[in-house]
Amino acid sequence: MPAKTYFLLYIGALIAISTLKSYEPLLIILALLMIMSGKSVLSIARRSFILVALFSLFITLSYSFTLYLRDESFWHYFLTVNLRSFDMIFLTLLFTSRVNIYEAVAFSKDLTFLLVLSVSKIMNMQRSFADYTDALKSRTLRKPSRQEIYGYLGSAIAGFLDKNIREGKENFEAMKSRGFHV
Amino acid sequence: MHIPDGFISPSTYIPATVAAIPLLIVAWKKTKEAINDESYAFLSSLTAFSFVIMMFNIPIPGGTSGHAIGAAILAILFGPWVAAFCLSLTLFIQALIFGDGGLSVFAINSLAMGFVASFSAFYAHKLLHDRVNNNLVLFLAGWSGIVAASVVVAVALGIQPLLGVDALGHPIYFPFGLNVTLPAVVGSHLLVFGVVEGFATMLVMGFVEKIKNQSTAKGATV
Repeated sequence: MPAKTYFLLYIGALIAISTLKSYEPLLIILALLMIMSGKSVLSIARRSFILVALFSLFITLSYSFTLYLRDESFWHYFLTVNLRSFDMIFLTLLFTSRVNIYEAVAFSKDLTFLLVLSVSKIMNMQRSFADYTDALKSRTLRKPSRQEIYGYLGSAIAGFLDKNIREGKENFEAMKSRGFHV
Repeated sequence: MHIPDGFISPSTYIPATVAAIPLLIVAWKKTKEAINDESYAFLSSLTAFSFVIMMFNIPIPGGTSGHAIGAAILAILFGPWVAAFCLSLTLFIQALIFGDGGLSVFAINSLAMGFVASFSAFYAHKLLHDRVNNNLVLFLAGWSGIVAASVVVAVALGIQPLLGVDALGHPIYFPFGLNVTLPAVVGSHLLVFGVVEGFATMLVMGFVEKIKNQSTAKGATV
């Protein structure tokens, strides 16, 4: 099946899951997704849990606590919302691990090209950022003052902006020399 | 500020997607016009920049910290359409490739952090430019952009109890109403994240100005 068809099915499934209002069907869907994910079930589940925990658990726990204080049942809400969020994230991670995303969203040649370039640059930037912070840590002997932190942040962010623009120009020249015209 | 999947009802995110698509098409066209030949390489660079700026944790007076989104920086330097497009592309990549934010709510995140933040910051800067101290203008541009975006997010979250309830009348998406989301989301952005964005805008634009002045001075001596 072509990647675009998978993408449309994924969107349809995402919308369908988002309409579910009780946890029983969400549990069945989760079981199906876990079976479909095969050997990568644990890594996808772990990542999904981390992403859900960041926002979902905080909100649902606080609301469940208010329901508990009012002596109302909170399990239905807590399970439904967290499972829905978990299922949707699990589905997204499963989709991205199995389908070539760039082919899937290739509805426009220009946009696909831009997406590929952007993602590769983001990966490079993530590496540069990690190198940069490691280098800074290894060279910092005493706790910097607030003024020094601001100076560092201003120059670092502007440095990344400058690096990005410079690399953008280099990439353009490289693309042009290889016959890519936009 | 990213809203994750599962907290927004389809009756909210589907109309938001319908509204966002034409805006994204216009932004894409205007962006291509604005940066001509080098558009692809340049756009991907700006997108990577808006991604990387979210990785910097910025401390503010009072002992707390947060990250900026860079909407004001991009809007002031390249215009609001370019900024909105680059931020939206970043949000799309975050949602689909990094699982951060969620694809079902991409349109709401894009409208808030892409369009509303960029246009508010751009027009705040345009309105105040040359009227007050430059650092204050930059701070206010960054601050107003993110605060305006937080209003959109607070409203999108706060209307959920009205749109999605179960058989017992309990909310089934985001549980808290506008009476909670407006003070919590907008308040935290007024006092914390807006200040972070303001500081980031001020620091980075200050540095960009410094580099610009240095190269102008160098050019003059040569």
